[in-house]
Amino acid sequence: MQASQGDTVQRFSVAQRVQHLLLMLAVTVLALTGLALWFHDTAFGRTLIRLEGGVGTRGEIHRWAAGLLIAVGLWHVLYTVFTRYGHAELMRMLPGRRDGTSVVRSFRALAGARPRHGEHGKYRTAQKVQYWAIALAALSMTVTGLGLWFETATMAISSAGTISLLRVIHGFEGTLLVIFLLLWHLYEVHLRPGVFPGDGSFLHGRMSLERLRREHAREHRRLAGGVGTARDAGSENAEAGS
Amino acid sequence: MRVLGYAALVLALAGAGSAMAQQASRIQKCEVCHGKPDFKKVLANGQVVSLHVDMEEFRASVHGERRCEECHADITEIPHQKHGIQKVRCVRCHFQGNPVGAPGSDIVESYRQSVHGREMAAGNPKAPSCQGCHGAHDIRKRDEAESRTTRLEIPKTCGRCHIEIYAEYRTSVHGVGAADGDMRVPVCTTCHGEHDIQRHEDAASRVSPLQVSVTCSTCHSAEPLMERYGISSEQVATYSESFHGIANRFGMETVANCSSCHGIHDIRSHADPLSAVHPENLPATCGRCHPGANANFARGRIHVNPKSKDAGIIFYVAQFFKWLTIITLTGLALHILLDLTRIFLNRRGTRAAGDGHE
Repeated sequence: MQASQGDTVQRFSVAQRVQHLLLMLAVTVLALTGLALWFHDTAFGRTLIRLEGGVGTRGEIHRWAAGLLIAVGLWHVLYTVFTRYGHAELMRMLPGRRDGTSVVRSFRALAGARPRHGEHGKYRTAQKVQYWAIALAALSMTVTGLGLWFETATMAISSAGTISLLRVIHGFEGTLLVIFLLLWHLYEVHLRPGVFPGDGSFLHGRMSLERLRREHAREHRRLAGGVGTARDAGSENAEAGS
Repeated sequence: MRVLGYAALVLALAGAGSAMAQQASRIQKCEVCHGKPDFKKVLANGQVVSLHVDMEEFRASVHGERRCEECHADITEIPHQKHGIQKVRCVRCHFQGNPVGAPGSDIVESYRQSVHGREMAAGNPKAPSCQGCHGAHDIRKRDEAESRTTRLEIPKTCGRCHIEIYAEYRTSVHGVGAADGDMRVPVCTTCHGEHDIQRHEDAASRVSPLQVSVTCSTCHSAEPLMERYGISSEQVATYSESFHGIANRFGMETVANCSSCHGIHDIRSHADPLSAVHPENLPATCGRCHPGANANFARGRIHVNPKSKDAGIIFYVAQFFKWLTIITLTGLALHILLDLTRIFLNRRGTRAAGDGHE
């Protein structure tokens, strides 16, 4: 993590931002070409298929985007394993003790209790959940998608019925993922009052110190004076980088 | 008066009698030669053509009351010339609004655009004209058993030219049914059409790659009909929801249609060891498009409806995801609603408490 510049801090490295942009591109294209097939019976699906150049071209675009997703996924895995900063970021994403209480607090706040800001590190619980959900979904969509892509091999090593099963999983899970990304990720990141009309940190990688203090108090304390207490450096959020 | 009355009666009888005599004599005149069973001619290539007309058969036909020259209009004297006799043109009478009351429709126009009509126009001597299928002196209404175009006679009629396909069809599940007198099984025209038959490569054909599944579905999606044979009518819907079916519907010709797997004129029950979709034969059948197909291709059902319990695990997985999607959608929508409410209430609260500390 780099030190603060003026009243903002660097939150995401260039590599992280490029990975996120490529992931965004791949997932958007995969969703548009995938939903076209899943909803082929509706005007929505038919329009998408027409715009995507017919059912054959739609499939080709889908597989190119799948290749991009797999490539970004591999880059990300290598980045978290082989770079100091990437590894530190992964460790910051691991769930910790505070996340349990944070979840309870969020639910109580939603139910009307007086909100108390938790003492979050660099990533809030909701952000950790989103990261892991997207990572697992990408992995599962990749596995089922490859099974459908190489259908002859899949059937040859299992059975003809496997294709129907993979198709049901791939289609439903993809739809679920789109719902998740639109109603949670996009809402959380861009659409909530206070953030709306959008948070540019996924592009410029910076966050204001003021917001960091409010939303990521422990991270703010750590950066402000290097007064990382024993609590902050606890095992749940071990800092390997910076 | 009485004398005059008799005279009139005699004259009337004579008139009617002479008209009958005239008609009978004309037929008899033609019959003198064409009524002989061994009346024939030898063509330049040595082919022997019978010129005999079975008058009994003719009189029983729909045209039995007609005179020979009404159709053979170019014969104006008897004996007639030996060469240059024209083929009978049925459209002389069979057109819409004809004065003689012959059934007329625009069917002849669709025939002209059909593969048979176009071949005929191009001068193919093998192409059938009306007579090729309907017969000549023996034409019957098609609901008569003796008709060449009655449903169960159709395969034989088409088979006169398409002999190999006829042989294949006769052993198929459809052909066996037709031979047993089952009026519900498809004969040639059920799938190919009648006067408007096109080549299967032609997009307009009922049996073209993009059309054939629609054609099969006219019977195979009819539940009461399929129940009689113990066949599921779901196969049509499951195909059209499969990768093959969707791609086919959106215009991909290379993808499998019904006949790619089940066969064309040789369709058999999947339980028949000779069927292309018999489990033993599935690896070879699938392998035509999916090189590397093995015995596992015969494991698990091909026509699967995830919405039906028969689909087994696929049904339960689909149900799981369906409810997970509904719950997630509701949960996330509720989350947004509660979050917005909370933010709204907090803002009001902060404002009411005086200047905020934030």
